[in-house]
Amino acid sequence: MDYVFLIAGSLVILTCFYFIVSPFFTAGDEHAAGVMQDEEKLSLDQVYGAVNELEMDFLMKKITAEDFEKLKEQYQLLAAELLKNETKAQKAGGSKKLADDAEAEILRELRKLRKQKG
Amino acid sequence: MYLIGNIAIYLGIAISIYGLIANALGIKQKSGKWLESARGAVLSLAFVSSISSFLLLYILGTSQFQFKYVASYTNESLPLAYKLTAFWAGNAGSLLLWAFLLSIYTAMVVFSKEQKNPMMPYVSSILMLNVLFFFTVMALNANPFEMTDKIPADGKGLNPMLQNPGMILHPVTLYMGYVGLAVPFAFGIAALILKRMDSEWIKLTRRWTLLAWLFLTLGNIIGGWWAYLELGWGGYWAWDPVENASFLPWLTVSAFLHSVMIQERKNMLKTWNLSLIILSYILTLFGTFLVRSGILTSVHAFGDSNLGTYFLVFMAFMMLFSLYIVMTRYTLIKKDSSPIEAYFSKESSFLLNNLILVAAAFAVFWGTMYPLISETFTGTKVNVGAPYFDKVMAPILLGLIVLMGICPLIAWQKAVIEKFLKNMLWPLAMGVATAIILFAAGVKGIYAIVGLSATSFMFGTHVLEFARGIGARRKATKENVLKAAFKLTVKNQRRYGGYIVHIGIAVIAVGVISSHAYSSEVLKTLNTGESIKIGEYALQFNSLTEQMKNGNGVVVADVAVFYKGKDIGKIKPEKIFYETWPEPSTEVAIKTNWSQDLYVVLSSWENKDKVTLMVKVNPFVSWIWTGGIIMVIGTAFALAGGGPASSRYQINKGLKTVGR
Repeated sequence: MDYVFLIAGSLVILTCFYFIVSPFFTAGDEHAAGVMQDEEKLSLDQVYGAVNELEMDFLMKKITAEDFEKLKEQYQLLAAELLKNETKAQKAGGSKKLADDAEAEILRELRKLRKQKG
Repeated sequence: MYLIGNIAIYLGIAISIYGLIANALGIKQKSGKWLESARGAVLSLAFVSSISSFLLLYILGTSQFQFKYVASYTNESLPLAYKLTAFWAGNAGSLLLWAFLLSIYTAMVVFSKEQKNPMMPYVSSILMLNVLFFFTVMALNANPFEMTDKIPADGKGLNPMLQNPGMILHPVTLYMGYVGLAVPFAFGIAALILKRMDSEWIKLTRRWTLLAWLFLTLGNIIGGWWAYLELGWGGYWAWDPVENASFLPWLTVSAFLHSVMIQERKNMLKTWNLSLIILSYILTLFGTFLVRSGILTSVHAFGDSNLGTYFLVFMAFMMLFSLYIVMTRYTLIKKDSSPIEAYFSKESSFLLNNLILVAAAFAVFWGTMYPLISETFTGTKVNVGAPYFDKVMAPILLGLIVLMGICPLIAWQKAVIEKFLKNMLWPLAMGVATAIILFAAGVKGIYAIVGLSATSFMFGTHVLEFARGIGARRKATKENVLKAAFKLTVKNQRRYGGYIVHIGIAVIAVGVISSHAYSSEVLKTLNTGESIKIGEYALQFNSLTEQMKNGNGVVVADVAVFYKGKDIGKIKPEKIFYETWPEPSTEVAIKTNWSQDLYVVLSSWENKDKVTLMVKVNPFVSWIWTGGIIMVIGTAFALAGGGPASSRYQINKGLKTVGR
């Protein structure tokens, strides 16, 4: 019986040893840690979420109509700028027509997002 | 068994040390292999702690009395469920449970989808340092696999008070809460070490923190329920030092869960949030120190060892380490943090809520530690007891309830005081109406009426928030009420989950206030056939019998119960005499309806025809357990959905970043 426990104990040690040692024989030596990001980027979804919440606050009569319109406009500008930057990055070096296309796409995307999120 | 158990514990120490070294080398040499090997160490820790835990369960379940721990906390006749729950009945098993949970949590974090995050080596090191501590204490002081010199024929058995379903859930849920807090703490410190002043660590650990808070809530509620059923004094919370120890981190984590929203949305309160999570983590160690050291008198029977010293040393080390990290990064945090812009705003209301919660934590801490403080300065141990806590905590918690009624009405941005006052009208009317109705119904006790009215106001606010939200959604989408309600809550799970939790707190508040203010008690000796009257109940003592149950002698009183003159059945309070325990245990008999509990204790008896019963009528106690369930549902709802909060503070500052 003692042998069984001895073997089991050895197996526990060997398993742990395997978990610890195996990376030295399998993994590449590149730095496993990911790339440090300098800043968290604002996403269009987040801006839209903010507009949505703002609209709810307005409909629930927590903010005034003036503040609502003003803030909404600011958020929309922010969303437009985000989309514009995104499109610019994608079509770097593009013509004016491309920029106009981007504007049109922004409006379409905004409309689509608004519809989707209700 | 002895061999494998001890191999597992000593391997735990060796692997934790190795993991720390491997992480250090990996970070220093930027070596993926070393970091991967450290991850292997985490996996090994989860493996060895699982092995030792299953082994302990096995030797407990099979009554292997050659092991000291098994012989100390179980015996042959103990039901299997309690043999297994004896795992956490003593110090050694509790430490192993802690090490096991921590190792599993560490593995879950390290092998999550964030495994390549630069913070991860630091996070895993901090968590492994904790695991190392627990394995070391087990090896040096409380080894669950220690053998007896002479194998006893039977064990000592489990304390009868621990033979309750509460024993299955209460300690485990509390430990899961305690251990869970190590994760956001580790991320917070890792972020500071890397000088990452954004709110990424908060977003990554939101679910961990919420889960830990959920378990702390569950642990406290189940603990109260257990005390109510088992201790036989008619209450559920006695401000016992060990109860306070689990309430303290609950308060600070509650504050943290609110203030992180401000950091996520408005880039404020960074130092505050870090301090709160450090404090919460330290309080979990402090709680364990209180339970294990026995420096304060408590109904919890663990405090008879020198384990407290180990916890004190480790707590001091972690505190100094955290303080050092915060102080060296303080200017950086400050530089990157935004100040509060307006006094009347959501963020200032949240800050106020935080201050009240922290004040509550301080008041509880002070009352808990006062016996030690008084002994240090005067040489006499003075216990402040429940009157202090009731007096100090009642106004603080009342303030909190009022604030819970106010906060949801304030808009996240551009809060306008006129709009706010207008929105507050209906909830306020509800609060006032409650006060008038209670007065008109002849209810006495001004403080209780104020408390109940404030609760009604808070409840009204939340109902109105739901109603307004549904109305607003319907206006925008033309959906029917049910669909609008469903979509509203599902699309804002974090917010409405929080509101459900608040409603749960309102329900608990009704239970706590009413049972404190309006419970009645009668202690009377009765001969066979005689009755007691209490409130609208009449109890008639019929007989006293002795019987055997699960090998234990049980004395049962047979009592007929009448409510408003109508027979509503029988109630049978008991005293159980355990062979292995000198004191009999009290088994309370309770009849519950929606508004009150009839609580009967068999206090003593002279002979078969003469007993003394303690009878209490506790109003609305069942609301406390119901409120607890609502809180758990709300937290689970918030946990299930919702990514980070929408950011909105940057609109005037350009679009570079969010939530830093």
